[in-house]
Amino acid sequence: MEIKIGSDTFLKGVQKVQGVVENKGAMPILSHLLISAGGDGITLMATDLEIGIRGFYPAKVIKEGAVTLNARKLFDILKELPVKEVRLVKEENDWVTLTCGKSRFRLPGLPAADYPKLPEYSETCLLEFTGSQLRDMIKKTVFAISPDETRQALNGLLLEVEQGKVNLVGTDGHRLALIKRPAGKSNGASADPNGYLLPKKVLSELMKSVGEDDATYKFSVKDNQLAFIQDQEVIISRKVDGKFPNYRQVIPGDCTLQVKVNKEDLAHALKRVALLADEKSKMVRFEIRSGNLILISDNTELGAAREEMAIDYDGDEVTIGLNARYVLDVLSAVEGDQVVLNLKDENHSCLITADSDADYLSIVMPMRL
Amino acid sequence: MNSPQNIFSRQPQGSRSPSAEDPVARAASTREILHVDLDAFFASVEQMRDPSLKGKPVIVGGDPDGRGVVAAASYEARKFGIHSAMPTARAKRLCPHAVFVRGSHALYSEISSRFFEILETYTPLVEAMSLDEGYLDLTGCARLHGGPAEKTAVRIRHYIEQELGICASIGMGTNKLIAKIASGLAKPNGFLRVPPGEERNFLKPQLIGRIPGIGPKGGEQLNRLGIKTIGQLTMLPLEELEKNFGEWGRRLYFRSRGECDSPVQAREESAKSISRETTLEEDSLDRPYLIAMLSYLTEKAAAQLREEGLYARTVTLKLRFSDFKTITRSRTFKESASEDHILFEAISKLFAIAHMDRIPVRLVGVSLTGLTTERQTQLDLFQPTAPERWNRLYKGIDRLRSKYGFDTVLRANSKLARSTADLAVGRRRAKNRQERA
Repeated sequence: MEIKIGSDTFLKGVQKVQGVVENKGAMPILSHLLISAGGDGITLMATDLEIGIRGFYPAKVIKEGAVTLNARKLFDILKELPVKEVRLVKEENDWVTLTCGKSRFRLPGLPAADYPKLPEYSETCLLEFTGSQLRDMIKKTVFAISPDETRQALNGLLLEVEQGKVNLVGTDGHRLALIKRPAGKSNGASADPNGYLLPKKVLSELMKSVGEDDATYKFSVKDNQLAFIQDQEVIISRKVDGKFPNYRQVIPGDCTLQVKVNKEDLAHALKRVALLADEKSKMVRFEIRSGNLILISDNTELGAAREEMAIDYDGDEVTIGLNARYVLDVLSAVEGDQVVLNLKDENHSCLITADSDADYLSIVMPMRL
Repeated sequence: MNSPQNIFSRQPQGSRSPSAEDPVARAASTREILHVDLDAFFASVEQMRDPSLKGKPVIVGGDPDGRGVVAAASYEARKFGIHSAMPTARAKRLCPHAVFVRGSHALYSEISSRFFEILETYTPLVEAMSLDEGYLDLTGCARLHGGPAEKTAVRIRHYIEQELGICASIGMGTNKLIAKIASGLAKPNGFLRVPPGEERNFLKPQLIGRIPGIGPKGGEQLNRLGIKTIGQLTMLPLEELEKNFGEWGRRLYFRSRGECDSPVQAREESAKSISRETTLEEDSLDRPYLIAMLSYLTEKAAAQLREEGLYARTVTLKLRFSDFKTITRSRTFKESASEDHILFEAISKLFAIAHMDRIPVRLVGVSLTGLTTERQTQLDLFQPTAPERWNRLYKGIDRLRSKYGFDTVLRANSKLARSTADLAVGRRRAKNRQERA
């Protein structure tokens, strides 16, 4: 195998795939990525056996062939190289020589034949997203998923098709975020009514590779394999097992109190008051009174903080304890100047909506005071 | 200067007003502190329960043929040199005709709470030190009680004997240290008052072991320096004591002069930790048995936690091995808890990862710390009523236990421990003691 490729193109490709590589796994080859040269370019591929990622990049192929290299080392080398042409040659015993200008590196490769195959995936498009839409949807829901890896079903986002819309839902059991967007060109009718659980790692890889552009991303499903395909790049993942909880039944429909509040003002005040909230629970008390909202953290060893802000409200008085981090996560995701806190009482969930986007909502469960 | 909370309408619970701690304000008036101590408490209760035991050496503790220790000995038994914490087997050798009783802690707790109820009729400022001793602050109560504090003390003693059938000894002084030492000298069934200004003269001839905080080891160290009495201890300059004994030495300096400004803290100012531990009848490597013991101890500690309306942030597992090496392992929760199942899950996880090295375990213990009166429970989206339901369950369990006895309802795990357990589960309550002496 012998190729010539621009160092910037090569770096971009390696950067996109190296995120899935396991650096400390039991199988050494999984810390490698696969480079296959053929036709008018190279295919880069990496997998951790759960998810796989593959991309094609134009290059001058002098001699076809394939080899695997340590992804991290290759990435570190490419990062330090000037923007110039790189020459990559596979020699005997899978040693690889990389030259660029006056720099020369020799890297021990592993046989390409030993590299795990990517699972089969479908090219049949089930749903279609634009890059910016996909990015926006993930960004506005991914913060709500659980970091607890023992709760698999809550460890990813639920993607489902419902009445011409595509929904993305995340929850950790204490809060939830749901976004609905019109489904583009789709075969929604053939979608699984239970939806699909997208693993966290797929989401972080998508966030890395999806640009703000209007490139088209196709979502496809085959057996247990989900795939996001964009032109010559594909991310494949095993479907997450487990049943996503019935989120529809926890979306409150009986919130009698609506508190309109300026988003930026609330975010700044909450950040300040949360500085003295209990380190673990992060609870801040929201005292909602006619015309003003008082944020309080006290009863902690750290001291106490309090801040008052004017709000557009003249309903019943209510005091509710909320985890400041949960609320701040929502405030940084939602667009527009105003948010609405929809409440019933101090024991029921707080539904956060924005007039600017009727198809995006978040729910935060209170803390019992 | 105002403390930061004062600007807010809601004061954090449990915060004391700054003046209560102010030593300057306290020094301005002479305090009148009583230390009330029930004589040979467990043994006296047994003698009261079974009058045929009166006048006989009675020893409360584990099986005299087993490995327990003496929890209490009547004065008749003490004449044979028996004292608490001595192995029961040794006590039996010293006094073979003594009556050995296993002890009934439920009864002791009941009498103990009646004891403190009596004390609290004289002043709200009662600090419980253990089941059978407490401090009273009677400063400024003379008019209320219709006479000087020493008269009140005599009345308290009679009233306790009349109501509980147990004798109490009372020491009185200008601070807790003097009162405590005085009650020790007044025993049994006596009263001793140290008038203000007489503290140093009173302490001078006493042996240093009378000072709380000087145990056998510390006493030995001081004896080696030629110091036997408290008077001799006052000859040592502060620097030398600090140099030799650090912080402890500094405390000795002030204590030997009868100085102590620690306030009497009323009961509401809750315990800093709640713990239960027990020395096993026999050293054991049997994990199911050990986990059963831990389950029982957790239930006991959690029951007290709930009784006091508290929640714990941290649970600690304590294991002492047969070679006396002791390890503790802790876990801190995200949200404080008072439920048996949450606390025990943490304890059993800690136990599972504790390194045992195949050395038999001698003692197991559970302690709950980071206690708060309030807790913030993050409600779950999908099970919003779960905390309520657990709450109701534990309220029910606690009610059943208060009515029919603790063992009425037990975790299945604890059952195994109850079939073999030593009744004398040590009850220890570390008080939030701020000794600035």
